[in-house]
Order: sequence, then structure tokens, then C-alpha cells
Amino acid sequence: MGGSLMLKVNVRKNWGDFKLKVCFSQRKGELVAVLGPSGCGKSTLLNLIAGVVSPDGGEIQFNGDFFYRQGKVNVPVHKRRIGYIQQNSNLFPHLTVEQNILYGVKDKINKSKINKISKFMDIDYLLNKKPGKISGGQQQRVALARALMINPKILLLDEPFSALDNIKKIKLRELLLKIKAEFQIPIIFVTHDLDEAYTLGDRVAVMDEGVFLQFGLRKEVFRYPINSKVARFVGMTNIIPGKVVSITPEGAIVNASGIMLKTPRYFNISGRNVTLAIRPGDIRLVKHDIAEGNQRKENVFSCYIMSKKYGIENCKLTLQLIKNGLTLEMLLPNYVVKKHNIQVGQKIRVSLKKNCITVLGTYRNSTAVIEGVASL
Amino acid sequence: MKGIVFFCYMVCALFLFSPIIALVSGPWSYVVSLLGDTLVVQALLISLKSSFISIIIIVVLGLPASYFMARYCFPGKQVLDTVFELPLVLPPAVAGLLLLITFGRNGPIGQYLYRVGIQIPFTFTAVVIAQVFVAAPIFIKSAKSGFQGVDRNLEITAATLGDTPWQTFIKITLPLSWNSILTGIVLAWARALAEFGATIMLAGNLPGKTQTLTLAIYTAMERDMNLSLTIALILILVSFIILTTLKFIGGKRWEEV
Repeated sequence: MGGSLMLKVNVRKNWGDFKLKVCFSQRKGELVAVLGPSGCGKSTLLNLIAGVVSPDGGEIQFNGDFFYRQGKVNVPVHKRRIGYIQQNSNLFPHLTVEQNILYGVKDKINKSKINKISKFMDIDYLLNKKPGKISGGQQQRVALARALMINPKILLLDEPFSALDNIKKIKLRELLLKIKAEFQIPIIFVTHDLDEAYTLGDRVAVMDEGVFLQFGLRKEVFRYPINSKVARFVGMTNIIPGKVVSITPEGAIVNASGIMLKTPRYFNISGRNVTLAIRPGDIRLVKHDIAEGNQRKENVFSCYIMSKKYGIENCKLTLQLIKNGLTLEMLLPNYVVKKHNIQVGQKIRVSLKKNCITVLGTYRNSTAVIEGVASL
Repeated sequence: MKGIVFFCYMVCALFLFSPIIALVSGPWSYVVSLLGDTLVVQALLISLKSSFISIIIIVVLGLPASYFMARYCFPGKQVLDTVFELPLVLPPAVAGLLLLITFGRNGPIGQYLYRVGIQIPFTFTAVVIAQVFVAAPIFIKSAKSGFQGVDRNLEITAATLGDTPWQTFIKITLPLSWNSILTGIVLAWARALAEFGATIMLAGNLPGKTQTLTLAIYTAMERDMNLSLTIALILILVSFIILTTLKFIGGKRWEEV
């Protein structure tokens, strides 16, 4: 694994009360999505890697070369060859699209590349226009082309698509995946959009208050959040505290504030306090004739519907379990809600499938540990 | 209501237009024949030379200063920034008086200059100093707002694309703030050319040495009113050129190309 490692980041930065401390590494051709709320330090992290802001300590290493090491900037921003794209495309308004694309190209030979790249990015018909005359999506394509023209070692993207409409956003995501395949460089993509992080990230970092709460393969992070904060962030809004009652060969039985839940067996200590999480979309609607405690269908409970809110495709229901008053969120396709004529106040039965329940903090993310640089 | 405001509008218009009447009614052939008068020629040369030198000094020092004001911050900077605006509100006669005291034989700066044999008051240098003092803030104010109007992220992007800070300044910051800088130059130059109060206090009114066009108008009035009118004509021409240049700059913007 060590041979293909490209970027190693281990930095500290303090702005008054805000403290950023991040440590991770990344392979070539890998896209890391950094997911976090605004103000969590995502943009600062990119500024540190790009060299726009100097860290207070630590090191930034690319292919064995130190960009920065222990208070000393070895490679200044203009020599790092990093493609940096922000939410505003930052095209130079006084230059044409073509001049913008060629801006970072210093030698003549490379200039023939412009045709290839502008075709690839589907902007070849815009070359003579001024940036003010083209649409937001086109501007971002030009910004990407301009960054790619310098043969960047790393591509940094700071919420690049968040100002665009949905159709353009999805198109540009596909384009970015094409770029990833073509250029085989490390790409860091900062976003607050769950979908974007999920569709793009090979690995995902969940960031808050200046630190990575969790960093791992996309599936790990979205399926096995390490704590309730990450769980909420990746959409597991049902968080239930409980205590392990017994261990069976099929799994563990957890007493979750009064109900007995069968859960996967990632832990083995009876009497241990645990936190369970389940996605609203993973809660199933089951038929009335299936009894609570049915062996085939797991974790079946009766509940009342407290509220109902339609979305475009799915309907969000708030449930209250009759047995212990626990409140859960459930997501059902709109047609199911209509077909069964589900109404507020009605009593329904749901199943919390064992394999959909995550026991927070029990799954150790292996890759991050192996690749992690010695902490500060 | 409408009648009253229209009346005031017309009164203002007539009042502002009245000097032009003087021009139109002047004895033109005689006035033009005075263009070659020694007083006029000397004053014109001094005015052009001094204002040109002043503008060079203002731009060379003022451009970096205004960039610093627009981009950097340190404790107490806001207080110091107001110093740059002081000459804008100071009456020129007061400015001239203070400059005379400062650079005079016993002044806080002048006494040291005298020791090394440099005399400032009543010299050509004094003309330039007076002009720089009153005109520099106009340029700096304009250039500063131009720099502030350039998105910092554009400079960051240029740096990531391989530009050194100097290259970024030349290729991105300067072209994008060019309109404001040019406007600043033109306005500062106009102010330097029009300088009267501070110049007469610090540099005096010595024909062929410190007498600029505006000072020459004053002197000529005692000899021949029409000679003053000749000089005035020159200054009006210059002002007209400045106004049209400004209009041209203002009309040509990169967003619309």
C-alpha cells in the first residue's frame, strides 16, 4: 500500500478559539470527500494543502517531497502545482475563456493540449467568450479545464458545484469521475452535501470543529459511523441508547430503553452500554398479522404514527413505539403510504431488521489506522 | 412644488454656466495673440513639468501604499489610514502654511535639510511638494478602492496556477483595478494642475521659477485682464481633455467587451 501513497497531510492550525488538527493520507487516483457543516474547517484544510495558508505545525508531504515541514514552507503555493477550484469559479474576468485556460501554461508545447481538454470538458465552443457571458456550469467546466492544464499533482475542490442547479450538478459529478479516471491524481472534494459525498467519495472524512471525526471507505463511514454525531451526519437519524443483555450465536440482544432488540454481533461484552443507530429508510413496514417477537421477521414492534410529511419521492413518518414510547423516524415511498392509506394516529407494525442496525463505535475502520501518519 | 424646484434648477444651471459667457464674450483674437507671452509660456512649462513630476512621485509611492492599505492589516492601521485623507479636507492655504513651517529654515525637517545645504521653500521643489501633498490622497483613495474591488480569491487562484506574488499583481490585480488607478491619476493630475493656495504659501509666486499657470492668472490680472483670460483658456482646454479622458475610461469596461 505504501508504494502508491501520494499525499500525506498532518497539520495543525489555530485561529483564536478554532483549532484545526487533521492527519490523513491519500493514494493517487483516489477521491476523498470531506463532509462537514459550514465552519468546520474544510476550506481551511484545503487552503493549508494548497499553501495559501501556512500551518502552525506538522507536515505536508507529496510523493516523498515535503511541501511543508515543522514551521518551514519548502514549496510555496505557486510551485506546488495544485489545481484548486472553489465555489466561485474564480475565472479572470478580463481574459477570454481560452486565455483563462492557458493561464497556468508556461511553455508553448503544452498549448496544443487545449483542444483536447476543451473537447473533454465540452467547452470548445466557448473559447472566445468572456467569463461573464457564460453560465455557472460552464464557468466551473472552464475552471476545471484551467486547473487540469497545469498537470496538477493534486486536485482540490471546495464545494465546486453547490451553486449550480441539480441537473448541472449531476452532470459535473459525472465529469469529475471521468477526470478522476483519466488523470489518476489524488482529489479532495469538500462538501456539505451527503449525496455528493456518497456518489463521489472513494473514502469519506466526516469533519467537525477542525478534526476528522471519522475517515474511512465510503461504505464504512455511511454504514458504520463511529459515534452519534457522525451517524446523524450521514443520515442515521434514529439513535437509540441501550445495554447488552445477552449474546447468542446469531447476535446480541440489547435492551434499548425497554424493548429487546436483536442486533449484529460486533461486540461481545454482556452488560456493556451501547448506542444503536438505524436509517429511517431501513425501517420496514410489516403486515398486521405478524406478531411481535416473530422469529422470521426480526424486531417487530407496534407503533402509532405521530406525523406524516411527504417529500418528492418518499414520505417521512414519525413513529412512537407503543411498548416504550421510543420515537423513531421512518421513510416510506410515497406510493406505499398511499396504497396502505397510512394516516396520522393509525397503528402500524414495523420491523427493525437486525442487519440494518448499527452498533456505533464497534466497527474499527482498518484503512485509516494502517495509513495514518504518526499523530502529532 | 414643481415650479419652485424647476426655478432653483434653472438658477443653478445659469450660475454654473455664467463663466462660459465671459469666455464667449472675450476679445478672442487678442486673447489668442497673447499665447506667446513670456509669462504664459514660462508658467505653462512650469505647470506641466511640476505636475508631471508630481504625478510620477504620487504613482510610484502611492500605488504600493494603496495596495498595502487595501490588502493588509495591523493594529492602529485604521487611525493611520485617516492621515491619508487629511489633505482632502485641509484648506490648501493651511496645508501650505504647515508645509512652510515644516520645511522652513527652523522647521522640524527644514533645519536638517538646511544643514546639508538643501533649501525647500520658494524653489521648484516646493511647487512639487505642495502638489504631491494635496493630490496624492486623491490618487491613493481611488487606487485603494480599485484594489479592494479585486476579489482576493482571483489572486489565490493565480498563485495556484503558478504565479509569483509579483506576477499575480501585474497580470491580475493591476489590470482589474486599472480603471480606478487611471481615474486616480487623472483626478490627481487635475488637482495638481489647479493647485494654488499651498503653492503660493510654500513656493511663492516667482515668474520662471515657481510661477504655475494658476499663479500666473493671479499675477496677470494686475497687468492685463485679457492675459489672465489667455491662461484661463489653456486651463479650460486641459480640464476639457481630462473630462473627456475620464468619460472614455469610465465607458470602457472589461465586463462589457
